Amino acid sequence: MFELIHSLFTRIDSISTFSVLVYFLIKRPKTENAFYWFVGFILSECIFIIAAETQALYSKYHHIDYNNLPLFHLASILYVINLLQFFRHLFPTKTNKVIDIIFLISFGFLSIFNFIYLTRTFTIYGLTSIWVVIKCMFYYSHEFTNPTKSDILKSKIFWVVSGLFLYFSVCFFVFITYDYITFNPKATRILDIIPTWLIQNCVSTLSCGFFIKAIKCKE
Amino acid sequence: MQGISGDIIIILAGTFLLFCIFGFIFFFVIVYNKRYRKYEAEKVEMRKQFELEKLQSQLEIQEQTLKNISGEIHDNIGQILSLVGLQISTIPTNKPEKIDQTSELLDRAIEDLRNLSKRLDTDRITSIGIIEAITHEMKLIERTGKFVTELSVEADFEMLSPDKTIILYRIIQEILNNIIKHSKATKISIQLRDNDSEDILVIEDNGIGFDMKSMEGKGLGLNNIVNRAKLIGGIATINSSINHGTNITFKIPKK
Repeated sequence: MFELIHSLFTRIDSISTFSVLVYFLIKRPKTENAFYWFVGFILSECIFIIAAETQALYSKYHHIDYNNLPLFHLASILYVINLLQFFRHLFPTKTNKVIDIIFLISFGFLSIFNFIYLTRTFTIYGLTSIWVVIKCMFYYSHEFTNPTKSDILKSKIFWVVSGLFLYFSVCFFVFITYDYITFNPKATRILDIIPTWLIQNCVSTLSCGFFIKAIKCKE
Repeated sequence: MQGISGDIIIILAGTFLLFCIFGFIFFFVIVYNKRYRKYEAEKVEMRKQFELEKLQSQLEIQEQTLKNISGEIHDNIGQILSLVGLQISTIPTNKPEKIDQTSELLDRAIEDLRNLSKRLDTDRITSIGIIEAITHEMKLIERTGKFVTELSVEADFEMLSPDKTIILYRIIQEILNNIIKHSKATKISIQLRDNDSEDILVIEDNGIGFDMKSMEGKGLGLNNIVNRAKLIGGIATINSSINHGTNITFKIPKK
């Protein structure tokens, strides 16, 4: 029973991410460019999930050890490209460009480091989380000072940003503590590392709820 | 055991964080909606203010133009026509009746021009006051023989500043012109009265009237009247129905 629940929870984020993509393909809403970059982000997540699962299955079938770190690093780059474009369409301002440049320099440095040493580190996800949260705060602040939408709950971008904000702000702590928890010699039982990923999976599912709402919105 | 309590702490912390984020989003939506309503109200107010300022500058330009035309009629065209009259009377002719007819027509033209000049002259209107100006206007209408006019004065409107007097007078002129052109009325009445706080002006006709609903959003002239009334701090109320004439009431605060 526990294994079943565990299995369900380890897959729930993948299921919900795919649901978002499928829902988008069914609805195919006509929307602004920024939103398409967000769909690109969801698509890259789905591709990553498929690739990771395929790699895992292949390795299991052929009884070979595998290293999924290059895939993780590649996925993080894809996420960042899509999110960068998404936010660039939202705020083409100078301050945001400066923030992006600072982030990209740090991100690029960490990516190269990760690829060379194939380090299992979630620092890069932590960094991305900080950047996304800053961008989301920018969005909220911008909307707050220039309220142009009569009902913000009907704004696709609002739901997307809120979904991203929810996911990245909560999961920031999951990302930065991942290495410590996973490789802590005391954390020998599966139970010790489940809660962190359980939170990540639950939050990811909730975010996907926000994203589905974004697709459903009629502006 | 220690592992489980650690798990609980992580779950609790994660849940707490989640609640905080949800709380933030919820709070944001509420504050945003409030702010949006305030922002919209400010925008509407600013637009109204802008429209009034635009109208005021248009009226100022119009007044200046009318003043120039009035001066030109009085000082130039009027003088020339008077000279023409003098010249005609000195022409030797064997058909004096033709000369007399021409002189008569010329006198009427001079009189009409003089009246027009008076109606346009801003300074004259402010100096004689709104009641005198309206009386003059009503007499001119009565003289056409097509209308019976009635003027009832129970208040002197003395609190009106010269600017307000001009604007009010121009509104009255526009309404009277509309009545003459469109109403098919036979009777026009104007009442000037007041109460403790307001000067009240009522213009009525017994014409064909119009359907108020069908004029919604179309009647630029009517909107203009309402906006001009706002410009002098007043309120204009228009009431009309088909075949029952039109009643326009202005209420202008005394202070």
